[in-house]
Parts: sequence; structure tokens; C-alpha cells
Amino acid sequence: MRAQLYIPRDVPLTLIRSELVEIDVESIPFLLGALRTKELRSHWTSNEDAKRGRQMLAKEGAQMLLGAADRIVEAIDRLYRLTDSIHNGTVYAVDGEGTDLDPYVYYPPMPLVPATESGAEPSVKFSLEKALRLQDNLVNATTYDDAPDDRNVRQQLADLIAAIEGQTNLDPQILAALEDVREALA
Amino acid sequence: MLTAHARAFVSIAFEDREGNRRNTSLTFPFSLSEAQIHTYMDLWIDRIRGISNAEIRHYIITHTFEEEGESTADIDTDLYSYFALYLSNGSDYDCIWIPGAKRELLETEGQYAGVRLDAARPDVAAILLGLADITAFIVTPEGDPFPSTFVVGGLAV
Repeated sequence: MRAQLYIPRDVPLTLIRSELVEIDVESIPFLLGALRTKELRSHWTSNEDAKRGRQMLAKEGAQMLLGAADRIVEAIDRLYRLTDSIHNGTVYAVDGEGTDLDPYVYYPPMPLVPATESGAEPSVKFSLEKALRLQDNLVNATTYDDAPDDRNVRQQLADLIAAIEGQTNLDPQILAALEDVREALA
Repeated sequence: MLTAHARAFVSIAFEDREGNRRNTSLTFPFSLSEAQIHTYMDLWIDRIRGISNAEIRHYIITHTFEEEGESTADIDTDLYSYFALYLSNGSDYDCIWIPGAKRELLETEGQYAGVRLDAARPDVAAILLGLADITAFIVTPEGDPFPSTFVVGGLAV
């Protein structure tokens, strides 16, 4: 069987000119060897087809050794680190120059599962947790490291109202003003 | 190294009206220059035309010689194992196949461990740079200049 190589001008152009396939690295040598058998002139119907076919097969063979999906995976990893920094406050650092001889090395390594502990400051998670702690402290007097006051604001208001109600011998104008405050707080 | 077995063979293809081809061949000393070989070959073809109706279609000149000595290959030599050196100039691609691959030159770490040449090794990089120098003087099977850049170990050499 001899192959006829259809070149792009012979077939309709598609929007996406490549596809992503999974190839086990261990099988790459065997695939490269299989491609080699198709480089022979006898597989092609003309010298021009043979030339273009050889170049095409060599191009695909070379790309098998270049880790075509690495840039895609790296872009996804960068998005994860961005999200992790915003939400959890994880601080990432990088060494290297991004070359094969001196590749980028990121640390800390990305966890296999999302972190469950509290977020570090500054982060969306930390800010949200802190707001909840302050609200809990104000309403329920629960104390935290960043909200140590154990006074209950509602009890404070009730005590204030009771103190105002007990007043009888103050200046009438001050007493009237306190009565207005008590009505406003009641 | 040239030996007593070195020769220059010339094969000349003749063609009849039906397109059938047959060859005749000559053997010259290896030391004969290419110009001398062409001179004698042209004379030979000229004489043949007087006694043959066939047309001359092409000729092939082959220089052969064997390495002297009785040295044997390393015990680990495996001619079924190849290195495929891919070359690119950004638009065209080609591949040079080298039989008897030395497996110890492959990467030992990472995703391509045991698959790619370890171009990070200085000795391997030096070999590749030397090969890249030579590719400037050779051509593809179609006679075009070779693509200029090696693609090895994920590096462009």
C-alpha cells in the first residue's frame, strides 16, 4: 500500500489544527521506530509526498520528545497557585530560570487535596474567619486571640438601660436626655 | 582507513521502449578521482551507444571500503537499538538515525528517564554540538539543506 499525502490546501482548514492525545512515555521509542518505517520512499506515491511525509513524521517524532502538554499543565498549576494564594494565603516561591538545565522549582509543593486548616493572613479565608470571630465576640462574648474582650454587648446595653432607669435625682435636662437614650436602646 | 578492498563501483541503468531497465557496472580503483571516474564512465557510455539500442537513464557511483583491524564491538552493542536525532529549522524537520545506541547516555531522571538523550550532560552536549556543525554540510534525501537545530532532550542545540 502506498500513501498519498494530502496537504492543507487540499482539505478544508479546521479551527483547531492539533489535538491532544495521551502517549505513555515508555511507548515513545516504539512509536518513533514505527514512524521510521513510514519514512521509506516506497510508502509514498511521489517524491514530493515522500519528502513532505518524512518531514511530517519527523516533526511529530520530535514533538513526542518535547513534552507537548507541559505548558498546559504548568498554566493550570499557575492558576492553582494563584487561587491558593488568594483564598488560603499560601506564599509560593520559585527557583531556577525556566530552562531544561535550570528548570523552575516551586515550593512549597502543591498539596494533593485542598488544605482544611485556617487561612493565613492576608487571604480571603482568613478575613472571612476573622469577621466571623469578631461578630461572635460582639454578640456572644466568645473570646479569641484577636477578640479577647469577654463582654457581651447585649448585656452591656441591658445594664446601661437598667442604670438609666434607676436614676431619679439628676438634673431634669440630663434625665430627659438619658430617657431618650433608654427609649432608643429598648 | 582504506584497505585493499576499497573500490569505486559505477552502475549504469539502461532503459528500453517499454521502460524496462537493466544495469551494467564498472569497477575502478578507489584512488581514482571523481573527475577521472566521470571521464572514463562517459567514454564507456559513448562506446556502449555504438552497440546498444537502449537509452541511458541514470548512473550510481559507489565508493566502498572496510575498516582495517579485527576489533570487535562492545558486548553491550545492540544494533536493534537506535538513537533518533530530530532536527528542525522551525518549518522543516528531519531525523538522523544512529544504530547501536549507548543507553548510558539517556536521561536518568524525570518524565523522560530512559527515553531521551541527556543533553544536560556536558559530554553529550559536546557531541551534539559537534554533530550540529556537520549537518551544515550535508543534505536531506531530497538534496535540500538539512534543518539546522537539533531537538534533543527537550533542548534546541
